[in-house]
Amino acid sequence: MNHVIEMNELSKWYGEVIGLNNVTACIRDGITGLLGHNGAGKTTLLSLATGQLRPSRGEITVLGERPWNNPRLLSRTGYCPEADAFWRGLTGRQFVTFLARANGMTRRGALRAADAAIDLVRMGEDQHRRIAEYSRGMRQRIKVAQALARRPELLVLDEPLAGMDPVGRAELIALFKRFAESGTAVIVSSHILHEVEAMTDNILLLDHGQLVAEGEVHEIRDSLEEQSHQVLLRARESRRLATLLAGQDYVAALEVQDGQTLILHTHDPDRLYRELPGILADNNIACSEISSPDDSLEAVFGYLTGRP
Amino acid sequence: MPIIALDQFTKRYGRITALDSVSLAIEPGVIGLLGPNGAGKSTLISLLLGHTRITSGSGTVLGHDIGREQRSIRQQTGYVPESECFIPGMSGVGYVCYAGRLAGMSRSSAMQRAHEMLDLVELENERYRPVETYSAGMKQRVKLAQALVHDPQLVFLDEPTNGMDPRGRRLMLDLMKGLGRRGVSLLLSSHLLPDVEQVCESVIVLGRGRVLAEGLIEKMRRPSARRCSVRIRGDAERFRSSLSRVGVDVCGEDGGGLDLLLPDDGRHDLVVRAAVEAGVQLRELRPHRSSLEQVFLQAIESQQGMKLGQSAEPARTGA
Amino acid sequence: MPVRRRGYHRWKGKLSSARWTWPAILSNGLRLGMKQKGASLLLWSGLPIAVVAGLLFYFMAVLEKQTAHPVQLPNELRFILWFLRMDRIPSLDIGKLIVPMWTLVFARLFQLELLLILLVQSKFGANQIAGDLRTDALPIYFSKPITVWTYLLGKWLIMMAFASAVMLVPNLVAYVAGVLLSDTVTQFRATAGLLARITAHSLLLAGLSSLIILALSSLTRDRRLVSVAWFAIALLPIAIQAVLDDAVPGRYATGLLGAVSLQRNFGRLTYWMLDVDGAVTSSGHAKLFGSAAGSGLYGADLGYSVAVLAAITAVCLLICLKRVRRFQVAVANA
Repeated sequence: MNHVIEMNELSKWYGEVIGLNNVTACIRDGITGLLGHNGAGKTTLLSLATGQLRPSRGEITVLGERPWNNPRLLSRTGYCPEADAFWRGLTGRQFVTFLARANGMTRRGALRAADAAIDLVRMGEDQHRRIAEYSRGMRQRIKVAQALARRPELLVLDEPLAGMDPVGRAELIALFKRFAESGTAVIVSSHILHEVEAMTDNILLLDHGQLVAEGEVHEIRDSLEEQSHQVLLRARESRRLATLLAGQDYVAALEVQDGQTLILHTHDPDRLYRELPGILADNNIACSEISSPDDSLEAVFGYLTGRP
Repeated sequence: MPIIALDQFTKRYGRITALDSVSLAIEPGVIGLLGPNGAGKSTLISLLLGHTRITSGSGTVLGHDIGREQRSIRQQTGYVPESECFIPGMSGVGYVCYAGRLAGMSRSSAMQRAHEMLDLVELENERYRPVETYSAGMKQRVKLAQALVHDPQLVFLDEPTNGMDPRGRRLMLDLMKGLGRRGVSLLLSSHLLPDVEQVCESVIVLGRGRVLAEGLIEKMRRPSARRCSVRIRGDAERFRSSLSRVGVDVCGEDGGGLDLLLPDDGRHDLVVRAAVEAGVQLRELRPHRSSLEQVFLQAIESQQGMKLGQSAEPARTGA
Repeated sequence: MPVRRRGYHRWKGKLSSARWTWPAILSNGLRLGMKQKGASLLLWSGLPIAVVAGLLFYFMAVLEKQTAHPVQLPNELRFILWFLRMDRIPSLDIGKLIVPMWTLVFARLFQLELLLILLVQSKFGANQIAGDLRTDALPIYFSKPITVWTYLLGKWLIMMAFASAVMLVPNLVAYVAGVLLSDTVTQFRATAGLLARITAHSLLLAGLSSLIILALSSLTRDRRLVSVAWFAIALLPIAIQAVLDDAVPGRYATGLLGAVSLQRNFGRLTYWMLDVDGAVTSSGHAKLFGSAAGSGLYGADLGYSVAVLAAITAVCLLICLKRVRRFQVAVANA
């Protein structure tokens, strides 16, 4: 199986305003990052997947079923929304328990599930305080707890780490990874690219409502052939190295930055990486760093969504 | 001359000690202020801005005493708060101009400078629309503009990239780097460590009201002359045996790459030679540096004396 | 020609060293207030009252001329008597009665203008601090070199300006019209004292009501709640009192409500400031003015009103200070 969400020519518009435009994609097991600028369609996609909206055209199936008007499916999904809408009078524990019960659990089952979930997000100490007194990070954790309480098969997280400190961030990322390893599919929508990078290599990139890229970051990067790859080299004799490399036909452009740093642009990175050690060894040039600055999610994002 | 100098700075709320005898001397530059929730970052900024009173201790900002010369401090500092603060009913230009006038500028100077700052933060025709209609990213940028309008010497920024999409974040970070280059000091409080790594030269780590670590980021990351990480494509076994032949030890595997220990400082050429011999592509070679996240977590851990969950890979850093 | 670099540029100007930047707050608040729908209409609505008053003064001037040769009073002029609550037209030299008559006219004007103030404060004042609380503007304000006092002073002056537009300005216009329409010089000499009093009283009422609306505005983020509270405070005591007057005979209930009612307290203050009693008595014809004279109309004595209003002032000031300073208390676990 392993196709958790399937979308086929999925479109959604609000009156005249386009939300999603003809998206055909599928999301598999593991963690998938959902990325895009504001207004690209991420929220629309998540709303369609969690049954809050109905497609204008095309179809979407989650865990094999249509999400619209489907409470049974919803109980298999855990949703952690971006918005901060809470009943502030409740304590953290009451909140999680209430939502678990609203999802069909028995009272005892809900209490146990709430306890387990609250433990996972490390809110055990503060679960009996009112949500109104929570800091931003604590509210995020409680939101995640309510999504986890029903032991869902699919976890949908919209900006789950917003406002969290690095400690909490590291903990929750580790938690999501554990969940993914144990079989839950996880979708994370976030603006913070390095967080997504820390969690997964698998992304779905939207822009203006359309699907722009799908798959692993490195593969996407490789497939962007028209964008030359950047390779950074650090060596004391950078100029000599530059002269040697300028003569190679796979080097499209060469930039000498401060003293010891060289940036190469190439359309054939494989060849570069294969021949570079030989050039260095033959000419006795000591090189202390070889890296690829644009082989990152941020670079891929920038290339694909195009605006300077 | 330090821009901020604190001596036994303490703040207590009833029984809670938010800041505990903090003594610091911060030199001009772009400084990151890090710490878990509740560590005292917001309290510190509140105190430096004069929003609350110190319980004990003393301090100066830009040479002015915090307790007595608040006015002078505020004339030379700017503040970009975390929450969505704006003055109701005004357009972007009106808001920034008003902020300038509140700082003591004449109306014409404030208006002229407001437009300049809005150019800087790349708000074009949107500046004539009411701030209420702005997106989150635009509101952040207009907040930065109002903090800069009176040309402060030091700007406090609290989570300045909050809620911004990648392009907006990129713009904000570039703006901050630009400000640093032009001699404006920034104190950046943020949870997003890679942002801090990109923009700041030094950091201060707070934990439970105390300073856990401070200094230049480069130094704290302890670049190593002997350890490095490497990624190859090709025959891994051959590469490993070539490595051992030249005397390089493999310490561990690290998410697709190898962690190596060189026999001597700076002998990366040995790795290169091993790659040639094994006929593999050498796709990455980096000296080992702890990421800022690791530095941060270690500082917190040692204070709290317990192991915290870490993400599996050290965060990637941009070149 | 030198090229201007992109990026940030320093500013070589100087910051004003004045301790107060309230003019900036004032001008900004006025501009924003005037942008509201119906703002001009509301502010100009004070003028018809001034026109009416001017007409009254004109008619009095006519009367003055006519008492030398008594003639049957035209019906239209009976209106003045009704307005002033005078029992009959005096058959003596009206000249001596000008001061008390003018005083009474202004006293009634103040009462009308209080209604306008009610509307003006609600429209322009409800959002003054509430809006700043809602959009969390206070951290921005207080990152600038201003103090809480500067902020409150600026806001208060904004409301004073609007309130004065419907109270002070019409009064002055009426006064000037009256003086011009009569025998200017003598009229002015006679009533100069009155001019001082109406100016002072206008400013006093404007100031007090501004302070009250500011305090209400600082209590909540919702401008509609502020308006409701304001109208409630202004109108409820009167409404309740009217009901009680019918239901419960006797002066207990009315006395108590009279104590807290803003309208009553302002009314007493008005009568004291304008020295209605003094004017009436010194004219020598107190009996003529009968029920128009002050003290009978408003029950208890002045000291009481002053105390109540002083207490209200202090309380409002404290509320404003406390609420505006409140945001500065950092959340301990932020």
